Amino acid sequence: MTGQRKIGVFICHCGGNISDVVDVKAVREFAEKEDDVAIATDVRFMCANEGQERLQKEIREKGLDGVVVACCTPKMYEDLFRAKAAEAGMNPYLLEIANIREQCSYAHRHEPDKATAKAKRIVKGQVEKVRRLKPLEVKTAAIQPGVAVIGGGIAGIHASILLANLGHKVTLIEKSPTIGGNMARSVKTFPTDDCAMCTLSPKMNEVYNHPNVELLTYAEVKEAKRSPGKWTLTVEKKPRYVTDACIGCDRCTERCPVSTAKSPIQVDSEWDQGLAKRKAIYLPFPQALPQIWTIDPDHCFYFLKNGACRVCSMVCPAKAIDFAMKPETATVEVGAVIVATGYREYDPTPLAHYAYGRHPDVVTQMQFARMLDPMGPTKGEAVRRSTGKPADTIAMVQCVGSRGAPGDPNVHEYCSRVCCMVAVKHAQLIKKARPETEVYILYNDLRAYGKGFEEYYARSMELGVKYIRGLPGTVTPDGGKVLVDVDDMLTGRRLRIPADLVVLSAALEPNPVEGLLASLHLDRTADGFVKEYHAKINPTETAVKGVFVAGCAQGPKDITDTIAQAGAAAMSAAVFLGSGQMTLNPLVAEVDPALCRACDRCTEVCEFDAVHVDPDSLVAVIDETACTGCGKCGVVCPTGAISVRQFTKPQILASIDALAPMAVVP
Amino acid sequence: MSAPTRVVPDAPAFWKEVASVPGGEAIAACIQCNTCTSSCPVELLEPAFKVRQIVARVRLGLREDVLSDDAIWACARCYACVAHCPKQVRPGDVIEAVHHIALREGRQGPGPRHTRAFAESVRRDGRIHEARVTLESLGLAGVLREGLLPLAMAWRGKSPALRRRPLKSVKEIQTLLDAVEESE
Amino acid sequence: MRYAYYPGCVALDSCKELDLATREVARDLGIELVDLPEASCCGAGNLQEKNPEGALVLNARTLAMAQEKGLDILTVCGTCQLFLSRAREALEDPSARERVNKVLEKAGRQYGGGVRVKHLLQVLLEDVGWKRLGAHVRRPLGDLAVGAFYGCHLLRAPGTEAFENPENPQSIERLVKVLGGNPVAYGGRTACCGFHVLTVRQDLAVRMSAAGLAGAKSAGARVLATPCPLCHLVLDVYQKKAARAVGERLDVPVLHLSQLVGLAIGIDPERLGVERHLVSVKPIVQTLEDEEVVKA
Repeated sequence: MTGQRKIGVFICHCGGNISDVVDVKAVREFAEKEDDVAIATDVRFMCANEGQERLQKEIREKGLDGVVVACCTPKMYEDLFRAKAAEAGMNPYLLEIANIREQCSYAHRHEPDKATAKAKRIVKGQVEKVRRLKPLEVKTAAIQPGVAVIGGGIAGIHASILLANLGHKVTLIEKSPTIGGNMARSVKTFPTDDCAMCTLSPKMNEVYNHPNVELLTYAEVKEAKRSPGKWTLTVEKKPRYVTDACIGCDRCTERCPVSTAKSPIQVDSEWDQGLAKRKAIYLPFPQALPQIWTIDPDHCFYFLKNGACRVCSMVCPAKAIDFAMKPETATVEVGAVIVATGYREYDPTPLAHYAYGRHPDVVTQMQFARMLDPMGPTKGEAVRRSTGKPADTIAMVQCVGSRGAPGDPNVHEYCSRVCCMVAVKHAQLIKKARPETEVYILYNDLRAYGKGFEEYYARSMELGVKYIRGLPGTVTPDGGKVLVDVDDMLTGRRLRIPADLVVLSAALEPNPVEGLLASLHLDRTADGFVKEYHAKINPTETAVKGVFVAGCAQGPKDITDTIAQAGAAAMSAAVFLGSGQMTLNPLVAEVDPALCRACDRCTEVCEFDAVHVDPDSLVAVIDETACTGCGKCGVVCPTGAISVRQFTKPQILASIDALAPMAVVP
Repeated sequence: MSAPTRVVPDAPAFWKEVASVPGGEAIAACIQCNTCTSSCPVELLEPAFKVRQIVARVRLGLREDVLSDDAIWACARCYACVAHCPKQVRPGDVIEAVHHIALREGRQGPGPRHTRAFAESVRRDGRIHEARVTLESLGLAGVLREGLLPLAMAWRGKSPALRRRPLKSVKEIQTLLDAVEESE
Repeated sequence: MRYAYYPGCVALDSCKELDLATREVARDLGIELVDLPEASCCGAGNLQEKNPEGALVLNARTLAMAQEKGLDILTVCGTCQLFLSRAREALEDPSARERVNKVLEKAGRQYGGGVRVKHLLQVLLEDVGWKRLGAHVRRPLGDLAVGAFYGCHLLRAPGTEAFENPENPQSIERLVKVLGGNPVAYGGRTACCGFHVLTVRQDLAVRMSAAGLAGAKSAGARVLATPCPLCHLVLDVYQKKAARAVGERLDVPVLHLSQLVGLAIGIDPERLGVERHLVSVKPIVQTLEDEEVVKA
């Protein structure tokens, strides 16, 4: 191998950061003597003009076909130096960085002799590697245009609008019969006390009417398959049994016999969180979109009793009922996917000391919200479910199902973030509507972190909301009251609050979409939410190229933060789709067909669906749009057919041989 | 400091009652941060007197619990809490508002006794008749407990005057105080 | 310099020596003290608790009396300073003044706002000034180690912030220096003496004041100077009880501010009423006399 390459070694002083510790002249002299090194030189600042001009000059004049720049971490300037090398006519992937700053001069400030010896080894290691490098081509691949947004809550809606406005074709897929999600039933939003539906509905309408958005409701993604530059989603559309001839007159609902007083079939309304019933044919809420009714076949007499009941069909003036509807499968092909599958409320039943499920007057905040809705089942009044009378004393309990012990399967370890503000919101709404109501909030910490939140909390105290620091020991139904026993750290008293209603601030959980996430190759963090690319610096991308996450699917958050994140996800998706071409990083896996036995070990370990054995050629094929270059395939390949470019076995071993032994070189 | 039995808040509107007395206006702003109690020189010696806790008890509606507590009269009126409170609740002034309600209701004890003796002296004489106020506040038993101190004071001529010396214009003062009571 | 003089109640009763000393010092420094013989008690917080509006009216009356004479008020007690200046601040609000004046009418008085209430310490600092005061010092204190005991109320009075930092006051220490003494700083100099719970919880008051006295003593102070007769009462009259409560000997004489200034000006200690104190001031007077002899 020797004598065949012309490698240039450039050693940076880094203005003293390196040269104060490492004897760069000695390293240069050492490098000069190495095989295949055509020139070794030291420069004060490689990153400045002087360094780059020198680099380009030597490449041109000496016709270098390999470069080692001994300087700071490659994360700083590898891209820059490679670009400069390319400008000067050398393949950029023949340039390697030898990190003699962070991994040498910084780490061994007080041992200059040893540092110098180490720097020599590091440089030698990279020289050995560069001698074995081949030039690489940067390829591009077409990205399928179009975005699929999975989840029609505020996150999905907002992201869809932004992308549609940018000209992208958006397919918005929502599992329930209507878009709107949890925000639609929030009644008011903190800290502004805006009407939630009034702020949401315009966006719902905007996305519904947008020419660039195809809305699939009552539809679920069953499978996601990945091929170069494309995601193919198989979407199952459930039959509504009502066509879009529906004019929204509501006559069918009036006449449907299900859930009437004498009906043997009673169905809890999902929308009303079990506080009211619904019919078998229903519209979830008045502002639902699309405004098409849906028949629930599991609770409908037509389906259960062999066509016995057809009342809705008989009274429908638009002849929109079609019992013969069948599920349909749609195939959606997109370049990017945004997961916005939202959250659901934790069910507090396992926490037996709170008596949830044992007494009708113990409810959750989402149920309570339905009570506060002036169009809801109790017309906006906080009433005792047991008697229907207004509740005079309400006790709210925080952190139910949140902030639990790690490893406890019944609760979540995380804090659900928004429940403090939800409690404050509900409490002050009640106090404003019915000031004689006593409202107690039993809390652990009061988290009022956002803009306007602290002021909102201060106003709640002016209204007379009472705060007790301590969570209750027991919630005991007793006669006409529900007794809440709590040791209050603030008054130092063991209190007994005889409540009419107990409202539990239950945790936010991710919706059960494990199957969907698996087929998108998405990981989840320990808390069960979608794993973002990086918790701090990149919370909207995921480890999977082209798949993004927004809203509560990634973690509990309020509407403000959801919209902000949805915007960021839309932007990331737009950038990704960009020109329709994605630039492929060449430092990914590569297969030598001569060595491949099609044993399938690589396909088994690949997390990114990036390698497949071609059934015709019986050779493993890498999808370079999906491969991240992690190298797992190379580890398990028994023949060495697969390796990651520039990290082949010979290259790595040569570097290691050069680095060790760490003998002191004179 | 927990009571042995469970306490049910008996007067949920007590905080409003205190807020309507001069000094108690800002009670609803308290975030229970405990700066007040941490600044209090009395609490250091008497843990039963925790300003923050008293404010919490008022806000929760534990009216009888507060008004029947002797410890609320241990406040030395140093106003360190008022100076340091980050929310300008003026906790020391809240304590005074609570005292006002207790006095209004005719609560008894060494604290109310002293305040009443002081106020009566102002009405009677226009100024403080030290000897009389001290006697009425301490009671005979309290004076006896002072031991030889009154003698030591007398020896030095430091005893407060035994004779009353009302202001000449004391009637004017009484007229004004009456006028105020009328409008209350 | 003319001021309406408001000594308060205790300075005319058990702490009479404060009134004596103040008049002596004022005369020497050229501060004319105009009496308000009919001014009522400031309320001291007790009247405020019992009858908030009544207390405000009575203090408005005092302010009106000073205003009738065209004068600002000079106090010599921390508590009087606090409650009078609080009333003054409240009455700067026109609607409060209107409400109170309706009642004052019945006594034929009106208060128009604007009267200032200043403590002697403030007057020495702002009106007399250290230079002029220094010129009156005929008997410098000879580096006498003096600890200041400010007392809470003077530090809490509104308007106090204008002349003093309530968390780290320095005015008495500077005064001591001007008078030729050696100011000793110590932990309890801004502590509370406990006067206002003296009758209700004497046990607390004596322990609170003991902490201040012991702190001053261990920092090397030979005498305390305080601008408040209420603090003086606890620190002097109850010092023996305080010593017993903490099991330590104290023996720290306590001077009123006026007395300290009086001594430095060269006024005869007897005319400053120092022999009335329960903790003897004799050792201090002796030290000062010895200084004189040495000088002479």
